[in-house]
Amino acid sequence: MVRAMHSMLATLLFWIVVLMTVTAATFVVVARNILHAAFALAVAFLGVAGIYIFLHADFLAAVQLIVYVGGIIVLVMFAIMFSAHTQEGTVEPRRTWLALGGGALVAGVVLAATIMLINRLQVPLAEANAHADAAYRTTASAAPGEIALGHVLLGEYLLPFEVASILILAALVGAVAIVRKETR
Amino acid sequence: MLSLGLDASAVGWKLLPVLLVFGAVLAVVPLLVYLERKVCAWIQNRVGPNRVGLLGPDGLAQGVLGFSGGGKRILGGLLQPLADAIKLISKEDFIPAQADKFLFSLAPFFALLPPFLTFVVVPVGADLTFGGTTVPLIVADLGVGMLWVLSVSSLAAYGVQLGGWASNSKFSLLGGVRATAQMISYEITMGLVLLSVFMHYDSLSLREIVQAQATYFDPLLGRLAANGLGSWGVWHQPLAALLFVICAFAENNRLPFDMPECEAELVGGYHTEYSSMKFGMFFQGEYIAMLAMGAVISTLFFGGWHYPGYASVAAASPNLAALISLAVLGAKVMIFVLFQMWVRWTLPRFRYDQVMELGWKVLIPLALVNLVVTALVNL
Amino acid sequence: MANSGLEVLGATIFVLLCVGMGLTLLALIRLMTKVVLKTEKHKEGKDAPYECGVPLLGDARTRFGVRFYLVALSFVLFDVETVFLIPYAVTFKQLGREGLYAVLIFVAILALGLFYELERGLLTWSDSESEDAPAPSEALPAAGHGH
Repeated sequence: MVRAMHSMLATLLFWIVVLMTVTAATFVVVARNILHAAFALAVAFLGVAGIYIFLHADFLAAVQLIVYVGGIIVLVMFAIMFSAHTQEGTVEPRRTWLALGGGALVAGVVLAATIMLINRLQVPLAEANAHADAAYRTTASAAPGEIALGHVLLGEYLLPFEVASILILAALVGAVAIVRKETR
Repeated sequence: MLSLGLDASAVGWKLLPVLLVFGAVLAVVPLLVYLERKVCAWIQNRVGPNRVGLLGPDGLAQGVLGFSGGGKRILGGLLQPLADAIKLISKEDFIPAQADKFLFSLAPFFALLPPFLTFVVVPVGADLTFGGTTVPLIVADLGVGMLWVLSVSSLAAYGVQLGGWASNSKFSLLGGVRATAQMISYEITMGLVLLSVFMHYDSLSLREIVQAQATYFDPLLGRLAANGLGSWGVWHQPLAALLFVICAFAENNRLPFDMPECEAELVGGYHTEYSSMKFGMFFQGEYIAMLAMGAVISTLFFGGWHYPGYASVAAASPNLAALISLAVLGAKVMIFVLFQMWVRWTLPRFRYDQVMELGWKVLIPLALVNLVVTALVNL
Repeated sequence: MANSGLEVLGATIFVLLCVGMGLTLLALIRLMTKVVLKTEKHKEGKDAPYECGVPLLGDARTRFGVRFYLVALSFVLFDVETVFLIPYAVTFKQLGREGLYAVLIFVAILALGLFYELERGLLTWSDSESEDAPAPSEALPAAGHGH
């Protein structure tokens, strides 16, 4: 009885998070003010972090918050603020049928691809979730996810790990180059 | 899907630390406002707030009940925060023309929320025991622990960024942009410092870090011994402690890092246009952030709730030991809050270029070195 | 890093409490101004943003020194670096020397990037130190007395 109530509570929370994410994501698309859209994107990212928590991917949720919500959106907002075309209504308000149709088409293709992908999973998603839940209830203290990640990242995928640092270095150099051009 | 799988009594007891922490933060913030004004007055050789109190000529008792209390002021000024709150709430909520109303109203909310959320992973005391049920005095011992602190503090930039932008005032915008750049710069150092602390203790959980600081390896006895002071994190990670304290000042936009709102240049910085309780929310947010930073600093580097002699008290009465531990953490946090006030009223402020140079040229390289050395030493 | 449901519940309740308190405060502020006190009046002069009494000169949302953008960009990159180091920090004892060398290379490459940025003077705010600094007028509005 108590357990049923709690799982109902968890389900309710899940749907609240999902609703928040989808609403915010919709707002990103329809918002007339581009800064509002960026803010809504931050809320959508927050919601995605919440969904990660429901999937027991706490580390991923933290990374989502640190990098996307705390970093990338701040950068996006800076970019918007500095580009001086941010007054209300400066975002193109006209939405032609072509644009709507194209958007719907892309959305449909992505949705279909996602559904196909989920169907192709070796273990059905619902079953995998049930397993994860069961594993979670029995091992409350183990921290397998991140340890496994560390071993894989610095073992099997050591080269991509180092290449990632070169990629970041390239981005740094690129940023410097862009800014230098601007200030000259 | 997440399933909770708990029993009702555990949930009931969980409410105790949740409400305790939430209530304590709310209750202490007005006191801090009073304290800051008293401390600054004391440092500047002034009297500070001494009128609005319970008893005395200007006290609440006389104002409401007509009881003068013999004309003597007792604890005058203590109710000043209450008077401030009443004043703020009765002011007009001013929104400048062409301000972005939605973001303008939401920004104070984002100034208030992140520091509050930091307390989720801070253990505030030893475990209480009620008839066989152990109640850990922590809101949530999350597995991601310190990463939570980092994620939450990365949200803090939103309040100043949105507030500065939405006001449609040059002062606000300049303050907001400066504040954001400053906060994100020091966040990198903070992240690296938290990582090295984590590597030292081999745990992300603040609860386990406090427990690790309760014992140390005694070379004379040749075994682990209980000690409240010798095993503090600050002795193991002195550089990390120093860097973290500096970052805490910068993250909170407190002097000497209060570039974003330096009065001489920017009037009030990102909250120039804010009035009424919305300004109050920015103001409260700053004090909650001071508390939060004090709590994290004392937990990571100064033993948290642990105190010398805890083990012997706990052997006699666990609940008494837990209550003392609550007071001990409170005292440690207050020491760091007072330290922040002391620094604010003593040091002049940096120039903006100095702040950024310190952050990028000194602190980040130092934090990287600290991380590598920690890895080497603890390998 | 598993959480028991209890901890998640505690965190959720706390987060909801905080969010609820913040939103209640905001609602209360509007309620006080609009309904209880009715102090809200609009006039052209009063609604103008505070600019020390000087008439407004153009839009407040002007363009900014691009260096702030570079700071934000660098922040994202170093943030990603921190995130990459987290899995190492969790496992560094098991990974031993080899892991340390791998991470040393990783950190060294990024330190090189940081050094390059600093050497180019793009995080330096004062003009005298960077050779190809922009003209003072368009340098940095926010630097204020920082020159």
